[in-house]
Amino acid sequence: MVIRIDLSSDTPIYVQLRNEIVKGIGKGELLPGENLPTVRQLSAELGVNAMTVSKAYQILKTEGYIETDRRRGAAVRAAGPKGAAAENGREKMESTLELLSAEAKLQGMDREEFLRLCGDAFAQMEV
Amino acid sequence: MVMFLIFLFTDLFIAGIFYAVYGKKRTYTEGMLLGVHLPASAAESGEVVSFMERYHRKTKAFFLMNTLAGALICGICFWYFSVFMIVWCVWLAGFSVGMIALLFRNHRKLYDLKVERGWIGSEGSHIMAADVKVAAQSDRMGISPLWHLAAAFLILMPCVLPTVRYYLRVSDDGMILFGCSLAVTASFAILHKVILGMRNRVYSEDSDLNMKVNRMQKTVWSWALIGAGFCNAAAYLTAASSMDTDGRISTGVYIVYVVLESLPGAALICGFLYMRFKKEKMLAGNRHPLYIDDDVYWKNGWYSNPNDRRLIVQDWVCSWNYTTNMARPLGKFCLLLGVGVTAAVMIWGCREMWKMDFAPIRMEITGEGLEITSGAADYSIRYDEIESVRLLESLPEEDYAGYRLIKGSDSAGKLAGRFRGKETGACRLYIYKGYEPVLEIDTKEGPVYVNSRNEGEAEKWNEKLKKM
Repeated sequence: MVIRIDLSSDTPIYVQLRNEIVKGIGKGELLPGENLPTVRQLSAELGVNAMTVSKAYQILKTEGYIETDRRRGAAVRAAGPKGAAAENGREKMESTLELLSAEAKLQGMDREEFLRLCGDAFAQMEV
Repeated sequence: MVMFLIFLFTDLFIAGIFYAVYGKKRTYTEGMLLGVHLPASAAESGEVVSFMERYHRKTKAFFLMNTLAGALICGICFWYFSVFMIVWCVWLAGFSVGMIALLFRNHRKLYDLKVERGWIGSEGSHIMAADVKVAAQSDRMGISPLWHLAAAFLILMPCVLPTVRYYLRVSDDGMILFGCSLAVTASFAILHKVILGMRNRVYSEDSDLNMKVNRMQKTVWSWALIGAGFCNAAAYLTAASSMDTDGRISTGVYIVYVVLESLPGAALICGFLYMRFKKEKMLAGNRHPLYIDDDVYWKNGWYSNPNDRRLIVQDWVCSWNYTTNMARPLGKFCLLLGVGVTAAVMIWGCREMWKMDFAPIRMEITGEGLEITSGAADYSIRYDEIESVRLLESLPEEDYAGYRLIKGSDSAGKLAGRFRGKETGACRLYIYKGYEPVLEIDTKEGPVYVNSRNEGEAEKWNEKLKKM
């Protein structure tokens, strides 16, 4: 799975990194239980600060997408987000969808077209 | 004649290597032409084709001119060697700087053309990419650099033999051979470690292909460097096997040593060629190529990316080379340090050689002893160290070729420094060739032979020393 980071983007690098890994898990490119590179390895590959990668991993762990182990390092969580993490995730998704819906409406998109776009995006996710 | 042939071969080899690395960036590969990412349609357009033809003509003329100059200056070898070395250094510096300037200027022109025409990435791409699966396996690629410890052990092993220990203590070149062999092993181990730690390249959307190519490259590098390390150890073991209490290593053993020491170079070149061949073969089946257009960071020819934390990155001209990130102060410092140290070593080397050829042999008789200066291996002798002094008609050996240089200089006009004669053994010579008589000063450390170009001076020294 290839991660792309836009260094000139307004979105912070750790957020881009978090989003890329979440998309990778969603599309099934990163399988449950699969090991992620260590913070040192990934920061060296991308040429970014180790703290940036560490921050992205911390967020992914809080959101319940990955788990970290002192011996194994970081790995994709087999069960996915559960409990409070899942609840927080749902709230965040509702908020994001609300914003996206507003933007779609303001751009003149109708309900069917918006739902079709959502459906196409969701179809890319295998899991 | 030998020096002429060595330098002629070296210059032609340098020109060939330079041309292979810097002069052949004319084919469109991995989405790039002359290091600039372009769509295939743009690379085949009349504008770019005629630009590349002009560049090819200029490159051909530049390389032909410099190769010819490199071959011609070798003739100066037959005159003063120091003059030749100065001219050779100027030729090498001019060739290197001119070649890089030619390449970088045309690289920039093509980049500007790309921006002007609005071809892909012309607005400046700032994308960095990493393959998560490849990065996760990074620590398990290649072979451990700890194998170099085995090579170091082989070099240290002969030290258990008393004859080798004695040789290392008393011989002129023993510690040099030993130290150099260990230093070369350490350099290979460090290079091995650095290469394994380098970032993996993303060639494709296909992680398995990225994994295969990066794993193959690190494995080949590992084997080439371990092989080179063992060749270096074998070379030292050959030399060590002939070390005895006589304090000499025969010329035959030295030849075997030089041949074995040349094998690491061959191992690295073969490894590189094999790696390139395998990489091209693997990437031929790349169905989803991924090109990261980072031209904006390379537009002047060197890498300058303030967002990249790395200090050392792979060079665009040759994947074998690495360069520093000029956006980081340490990157600029490393470059300046490299250029500064190289220039200083060249200037110092030329100055020393100039002294060897042109500094006169002088002997000062002072109240405490003798001071002999010659521009190479100066020497002083206290009176209590002198056993006898006599004037000879000529040197004891039949001809000057009977003396082997240990330390100092052996130029067309004079011999100065430490030598070993076939009959005389260890001695010191401060001799102008073709001038007689010769003053022989016997000391506890062996005889010293001195003469002068001024008529009657050697006789005066002889008389003065006999009175002391």
